[in-house]
Amino acid sequence: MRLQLQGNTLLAGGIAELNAANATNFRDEARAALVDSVKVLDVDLSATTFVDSSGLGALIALHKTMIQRGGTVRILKPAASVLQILELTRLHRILEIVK
Amino acid sequence: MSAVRLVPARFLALELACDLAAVRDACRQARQFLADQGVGAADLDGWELALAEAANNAVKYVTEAGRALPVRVELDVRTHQAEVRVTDHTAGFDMPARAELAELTDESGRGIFLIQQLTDEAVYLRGAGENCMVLRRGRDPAAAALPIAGDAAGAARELAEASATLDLMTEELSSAYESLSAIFRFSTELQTGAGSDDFIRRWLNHLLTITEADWFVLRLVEQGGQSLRVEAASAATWAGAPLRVPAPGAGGPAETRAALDRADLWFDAKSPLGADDPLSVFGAGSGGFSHPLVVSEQLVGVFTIGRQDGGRPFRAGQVSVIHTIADFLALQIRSRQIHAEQVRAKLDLRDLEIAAGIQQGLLPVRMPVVPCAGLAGFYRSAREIGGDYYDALGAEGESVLLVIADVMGKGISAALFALMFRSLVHARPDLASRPGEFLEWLNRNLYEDLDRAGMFITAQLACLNSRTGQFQVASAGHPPMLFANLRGEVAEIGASGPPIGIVADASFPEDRRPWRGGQALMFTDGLMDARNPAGSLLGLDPLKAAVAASALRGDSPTDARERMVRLLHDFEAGTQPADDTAFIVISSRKP
Repeated sequence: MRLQLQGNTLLAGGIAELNAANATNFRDEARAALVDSVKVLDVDLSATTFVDSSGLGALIALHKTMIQRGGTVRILKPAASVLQILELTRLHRILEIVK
Repeated sequence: MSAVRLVPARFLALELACDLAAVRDACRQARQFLADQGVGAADLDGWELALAEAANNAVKYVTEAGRALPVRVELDVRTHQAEVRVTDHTAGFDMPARAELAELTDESGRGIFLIQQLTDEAVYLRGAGENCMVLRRGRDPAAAALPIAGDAAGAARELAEASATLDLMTEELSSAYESLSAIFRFSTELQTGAGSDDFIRRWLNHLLTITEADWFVLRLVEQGGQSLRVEAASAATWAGAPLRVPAPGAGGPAETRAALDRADLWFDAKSPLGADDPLSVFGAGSGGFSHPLVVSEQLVGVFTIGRQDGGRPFRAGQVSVIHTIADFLALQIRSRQIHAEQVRAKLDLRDLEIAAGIQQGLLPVRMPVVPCAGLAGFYRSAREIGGDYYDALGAEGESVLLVIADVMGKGISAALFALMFRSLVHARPDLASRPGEFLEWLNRNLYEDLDRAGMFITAQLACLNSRTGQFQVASAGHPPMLFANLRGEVAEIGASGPPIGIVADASFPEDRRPWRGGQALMFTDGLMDARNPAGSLLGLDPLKAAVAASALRGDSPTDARERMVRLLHDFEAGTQPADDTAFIVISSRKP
C-alpha cells in the first residue's frame, strides 16, 4: 500500500486487496500515518479487486477514527463488484464514495 | 424412463492449511475452477466472496486441536446449480436463519450476512469433530450484476431486499427528520431566552429519547478550572463527585480523557469503561462516548451519553444530533456564565453608587434654630454602607424633634430602610411633639416590611419643648440618651420599648426631663462600640465623661461635637471602623 500526504489529505492507494489477512495491517498503517493536520482520508480502491467483510471492517474503523478527529473518509473509484458489496451492506450510507 | 439418471457434475476438492493466506489462495483457485465451468463473471465475484467469508471463519474460530487439521473446500458444480462446502474444525456456531445487517459503524459481524446475501441457500451442519457450511446458488448463465434476478427465487429475494432497503431508508429518514425537528425546536427555545437549568435537563432527557440512549452525564468546569462537577445526569439521584482535571495517570476516567484530549472518547463492549470510572455505575458494558464541550477554545465541560447495550453503537446521524445539541448547550451555558459575571461586576459598582446616593439624602442640610438650645450633628460612614440616620425637625411652638436611628444590617437594604424611616418621620409633623406615639406609629407602619426582611431599627426620638423647657424622650431599643447638667452630673434615659420591627403593636412610654442648661448627647452604637487597636470597645463611660466635661466647660454645640470627634479619633487610633457612627449634641449654649 502507498500512503501519500497531500496538504490535509492522506491518500492510501495501491491496494490490491482488502481481506482478512491484511485488513488489520491496512487499518493500523493508515491510522499511524494520520498526522494532526489530516482532515480527509482518501482510500483509492481503483486497483482493488477484492474486499471481504474484514476489509469492510477496516474501512469502518478508519471512518470512526476520522469522525472522532472531525474529519472524513472517502472511498475513491471502487470497482463495480466492490461498490456492490458496499451497497449490499449499506455502507455507502456512511462512507463517502467518489466514483 | 429410468428412475436413476446420470447427472453431469464437476468437482474440485481442496485442502488448506489453517491460515488466512491459504484461504485467499484457495478462493482464487476455486474462482478459476468455477470460471472454467462457465459460471458467469458476476456470479464469480459472489462465490469468491462467500467462500472467503466461510473459509475465513473456519480459520478465525478454529479450536486449538483443530489448528493442525486442514480446512476442506469442495466445489460441486452441476448444470443449474453450484454448491460449495467448507469443512471447519471450530467449536461450531448457531447459524441464524436470517442474519441481520450489522450496525453501520460495527467493524465486524457482516460475514454471515454476506454469505446469505450472496447465496440462495446456506446451511451449517454441525458435527462431532467438524462442521460443514454448505452454500448453494443457482447458476444463471446470463448474469449481469449481483444480486441476479434470473429466476423466481432470485426475484423473490430481490423484492425482499428492496423492501428491507425501503424499510431501512424510511427508518433513517424518519430518524433524520426527528433529529432535524428536534434541532429546530431546540434552537427556537434557545432564542426565546430559555437557558435555565430546567431547560438543559429537559433537552438532555429529550436527547436520550431521540437517540435511543439510556443515560447521560453533563459535567461543567468549576470556576477555578481545576475540576469537573456534575451539572446534570439522567439519574437525578446520582451524585458523582467532581473529577479533577488533569486526572492523575495516563488512563483515567473517560470524561477527563475527553477533556484533556479535546476529542470524543468512545467506549463500548470492546473498549469498556474502566472499573473505577465513575460512569461505570450506569452499566459497565455500556457503549457511547464522552464529548468535550469547548467554546472559543475554552473547555466549558464534558457531555457523556451512553447505551447500556455496548454492542449497539450510535449511528452517524445520532452522533450528529448529540454533537449539535451538546455544543449548543455549551454555548448557552458559557454565555450565561459570562453574562452573570458581567452583571455581578456591574451590580457591585452600582451598589456603591446607590448607597452613596442614599446617604446624601439622609442627613439634614442644616440644624433648625430653637430658642433654648444649640444643635450639632455628626455622621461618619464605615467601609460598608450602613443604615444610620439622624435628623432634627422643627415642630410647633418653637420645639424641635431630634431623631436618631440605626437600621440593623448593612448594604443597600439597610440604607433603603433608613430612607423609608426618614420619609415616615417627615410625614407626620403633627406627631413631633408626641415622640412615644410617634414611635408607635412608625413601628406599626414599618413592622411588616422589617419583619419580612428579617431586620429591625433602633431609634430614639427626643422632643425639646422650648415653652415648657422639657425634653420628652421615647426610645425603641436604642442606646441611652446622655444628659449632663451645669454641675457636670450625668444622667441617662434608656430604651422604653423594643426596637422597631420586632413586636407588631409595641408601645413606647415617654420619659420627661427638664432642660435647665448643660449638654445632651444622642448617638448610635457605632460610637459606643468604636474599637481601639487592642480590640477593646469605647463603651459608655468615656462618653459620659465627655458630655460632663462639655457641660462644665460650657461648650458650644460645635465645640461639644469637636470634643466627641477627638475622643473617637484618639481612641480608635487609626483602627478601621466597622460600623457607621452618628450623634447629635445638644448644648444650652447657643452656637
